[in-house]
Amino acid sequence: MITYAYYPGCVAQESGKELDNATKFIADKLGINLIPMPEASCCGGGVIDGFDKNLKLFINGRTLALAEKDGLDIMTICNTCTLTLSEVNEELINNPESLEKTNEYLAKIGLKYSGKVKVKHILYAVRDDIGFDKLKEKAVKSLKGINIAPFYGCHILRPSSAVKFDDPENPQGFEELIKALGGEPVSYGRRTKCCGFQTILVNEATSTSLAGNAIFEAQEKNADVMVTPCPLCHLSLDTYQTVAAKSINKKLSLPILHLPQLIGIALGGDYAEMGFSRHNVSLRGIMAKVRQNEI
Amino acid sequence: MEFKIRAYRFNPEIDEKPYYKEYTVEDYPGMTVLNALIKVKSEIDGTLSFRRSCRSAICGSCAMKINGISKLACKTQVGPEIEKFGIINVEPLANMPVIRDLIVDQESFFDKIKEIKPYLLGQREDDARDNFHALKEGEKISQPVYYKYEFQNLTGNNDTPNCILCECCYSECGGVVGNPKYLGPAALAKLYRYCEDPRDNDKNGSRLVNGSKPDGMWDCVHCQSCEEFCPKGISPVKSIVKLHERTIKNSITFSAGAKHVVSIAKSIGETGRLDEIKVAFDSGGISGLINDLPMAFGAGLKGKIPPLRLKLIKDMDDIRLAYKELDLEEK
Amino acid sequence: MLKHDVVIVGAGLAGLRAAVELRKQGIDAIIVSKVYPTRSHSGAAQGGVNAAFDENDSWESHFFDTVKGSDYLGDQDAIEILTSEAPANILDLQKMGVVFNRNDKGGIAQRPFGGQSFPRSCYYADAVGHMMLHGLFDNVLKYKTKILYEYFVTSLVTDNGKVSGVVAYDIKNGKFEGIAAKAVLFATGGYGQVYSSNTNALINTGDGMAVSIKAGVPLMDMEFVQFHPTTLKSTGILVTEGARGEGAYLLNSLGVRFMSKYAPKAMELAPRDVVARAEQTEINEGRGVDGAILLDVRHLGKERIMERLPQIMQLSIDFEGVNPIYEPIPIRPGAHYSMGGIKTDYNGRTAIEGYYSAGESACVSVHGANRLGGNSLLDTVVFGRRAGIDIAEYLKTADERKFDESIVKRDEEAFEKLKKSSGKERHGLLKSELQEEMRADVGVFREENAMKKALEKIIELKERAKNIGIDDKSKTFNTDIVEAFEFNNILLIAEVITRGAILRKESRGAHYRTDFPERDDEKWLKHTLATLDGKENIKFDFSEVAITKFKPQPRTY
Repeated sequence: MITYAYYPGCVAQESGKELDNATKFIADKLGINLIPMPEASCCGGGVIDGFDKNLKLFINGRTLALAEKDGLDIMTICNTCTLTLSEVNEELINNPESLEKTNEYLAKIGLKYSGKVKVKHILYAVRDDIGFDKLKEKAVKSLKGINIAPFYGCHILRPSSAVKFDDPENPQGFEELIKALGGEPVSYGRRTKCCGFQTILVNEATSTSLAGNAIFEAQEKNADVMVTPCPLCHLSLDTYQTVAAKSINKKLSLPILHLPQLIGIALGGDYAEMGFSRHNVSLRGIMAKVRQNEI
Repeated sequence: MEFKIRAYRFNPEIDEKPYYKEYTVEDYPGMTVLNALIKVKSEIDGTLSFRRSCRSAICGSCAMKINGISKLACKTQVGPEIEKFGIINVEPLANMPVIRDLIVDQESFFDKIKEIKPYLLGQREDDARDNFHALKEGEKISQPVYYKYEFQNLTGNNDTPNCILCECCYSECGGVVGNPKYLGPAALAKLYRYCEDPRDNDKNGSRLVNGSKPDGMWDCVHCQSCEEFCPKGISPVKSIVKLHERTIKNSITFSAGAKHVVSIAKSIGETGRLDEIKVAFDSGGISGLINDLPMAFGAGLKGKIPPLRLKLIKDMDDIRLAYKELDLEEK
Repeated sequence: MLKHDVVIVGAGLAGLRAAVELRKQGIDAIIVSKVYPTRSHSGAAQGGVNAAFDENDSWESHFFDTVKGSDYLGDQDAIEILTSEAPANILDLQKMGVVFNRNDKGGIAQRPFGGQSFPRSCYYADAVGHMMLHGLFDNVLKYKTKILYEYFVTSLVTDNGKVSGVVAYDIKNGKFEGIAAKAVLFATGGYGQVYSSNTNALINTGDGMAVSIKAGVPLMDMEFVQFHPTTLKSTGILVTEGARGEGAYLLNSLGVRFMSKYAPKAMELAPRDVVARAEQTEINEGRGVDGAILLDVRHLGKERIMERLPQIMQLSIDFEGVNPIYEPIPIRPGAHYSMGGIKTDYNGRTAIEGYYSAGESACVSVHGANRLGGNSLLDTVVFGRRAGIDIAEYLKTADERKFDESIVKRDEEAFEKLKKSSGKERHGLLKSELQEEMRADVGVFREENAMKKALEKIIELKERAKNIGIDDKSKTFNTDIVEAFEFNNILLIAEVITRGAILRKESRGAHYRTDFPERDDEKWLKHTLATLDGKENIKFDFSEVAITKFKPQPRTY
């Protein structure tokens, strides 16, 4: 049994609830003990330092301190949460002034941070703490014959001064996962590019064109499904897929999975358990394919 | 040991469309991609065209895509690239039209640099005290005083004045890909450099106001590529976020981007969480919501719309205290 | 054909400084540059720019240091101007937006440099050239200056002894353009590419000097080539003298600070020619480490290195695979600077009316037989500014002149002819042969027979150059033919240097002859002037050195 402090982030608890449910499903099957953090605040949505840089340190330092109090590492399921917590962690560990300032605030709420917590995104927690081989053993369905396009997104790869899970120039963690589950990873250029979510409320047309072009490229390379480790990317890629199709004036029809749903399917999760009814682009076709791949 | 270079070739004068040409080169320890290109040009194919000058990572001429990532050819060692990718692919930088082979038209990039007014504003040209004075015998000169702290954000190793205008960040920028009119990381980093300069006398905050207009600082998608791939260790995205902070603290919040950030801060300050509906409304306004109605309706049918009132996090007072300590409470 | 009042060729520090001076008065001056201005080699200068600010320092001390550094060949009236105008010029740059590091009193931070009796090199980390270049360029943008970049100037056009414009090749479109002007400033930089193992950019091919001598303008003191003592062993990339200014040691294979033998007082901060010869001697006598000397900064500590010398730290890691915090850097002498150049007076004027030069391409002469570190950056802004002022004044009375368009046609035809050639020789390989020969025989240590061998090689290469093949027949951005043309320029410059070096039978500053190891003021305290007689032959003449204040003394450190 591996235990983490569980930090799902705000979107996964609301509009992206299917992600939270899928995560709990696979945690149960893989022997991961997720300790909830009801006091943890939003990480800031990736923009809070544009409001006040110290606020970013304080609210995320608090989240880190809460985990440290229980002697736990934090597991995240969202790219932006991962980057934000990692950046704050790096700063608190390396910059004594920032640590002092943050601990002054934390002291007032009965907390302290000493830099002991590690932040792990679930993809890399599974790779490093459980192992893709163990995952393979536990799989009950194979993803054989399914072309899966990994969409890393930005924030679990860059900047590598903060997030150090994978090679930012040529990451392979996702591909290794897909292969371990029997699927066929699709190779395409935009797998490490941006989905555009950060500007979706600022300039929708240009923002959705980024997601649109990534989907289109994957489609051209015969992808059956795309997978993303981030609920924000998922909103861009799935919920906004119809809007994206319009902004690039192309036909798009690619189902988008959350990473834990990909693992969940392999571990035997069904349509309802994975929350597929909440998706814009239907997963029925994929599930039909998978049904035939009993291991 | 031999290796292959696969170069993007295109001469609009004679080629209908671009193609790739492979060359085989003998390497040596410490060989850079630029060394290899020069060898090819000098010994095998003089038509291979690329820009280069200093070969010591200071002039910015030789930026190009090497195995898909924008880098300086003079600084990129052949050995590690071959180890990782098995070949050296060279292509012209992205986001700019190709003139020929590995040479791109940089006019749009330089136009954006010019647009942010990259020089000190509000300088008095006619101040008599500043008259040029050649020293006579026995004379000494006095100099104006600027202390270290005044320049502290401009004199570090990875600070914005070190930018060599190589365009690697611009080529990797996610924002420019989506919006070709977006100013881009280098121009905005330069804007930050001038905002930070204690000698800049920008009355009325015109720099921040102009920078907040469409295609300006709020069009950054935060993809972090500029920081990751800058060969001089500069982080344009962190400079852009600092511009955001400065802009909001100066109450220049007419832009959707600023409203978006302020809304998120407000949401966290009241509930400890990100209220998706409220933030969407604050950022895009009524027109934004109306525009997104079809998408939202579809999402609503699937149960994706969050409740109108979010539950507060536990120990919400902790967050309120943080806002209070930092003097960020809503007045 | 284009027409402007002033054409500035070269967009490095000197060219940009002159442009700012002219444009802020609203004068119709344009910049023509082979590369985009910020790519100019001025940006590679690292260590510092000299000016006497400190209350314990004086410009007169800087004056003397420079005269002595030049081994008494520098023109003292010009050096007086250089040093007395230095502080004002630096403050001027600062006002324009250039950033410098600060000292504890709030003034510009200054570090010690070679041959300077007081720490007076103003610095910005170890990238002051970059800072100055971009700062000046930002001002050129401020005054909305027209810049024709990626234009390669092939000829100077004159009308009855007055300049009337230039001919330039538009590299992007493959067209020749005549640009008529009443004043032309060449700020085209040096000729480092004449030598293999040099600190210079690949664009430093002495084009301006070649065009000038072909137009009938004398080149002065060309035999004086500065070899910078600390260039990275594998690539020749510059490691700033500022490292020694911060306290770095030079060690031989025995771990000894050998400079105590050659310059016991100044040690590592002796002038560059002294240090380069010391290093080369150690290497020649078997006390080098793999053909190199070790530059040790470890004792400075990580913090100081990262604050004051971050660029050279990164360069050592990237290009030599050595982290200077933990290991000494292998370095050796490399060709770095051209003391000689287009002969000008101290307002930038040359032998042709309306034709000016400033910066490294010019020879005023403020550096004489050896340049002190930190003085070249100063030279560019002091004389770039003065040239700008003089041009503005000149324009007030300059009359109209005719632009001979046949020169455009002539150059166009020469290019077309060259482009058609399909001989066996490859100019890139010929260039390597020339460079290696120059390094071996017209380098730090010179001798009659060796230099004559170099001359023979040059003559052989001139012949073989007639048989060059050009692969690229295109009009669009044809770099093959531009490089072939550059090669012809460096061949010409190499010949001027070599013949001058053979002629000067003494050792002075950077020109050291093992067969004439002493300085000979009686016979050789004079400038050499090289001109082209007709098309082919290089003729030499001499001119006096201006000695106003300091009588020549023996030069020891």
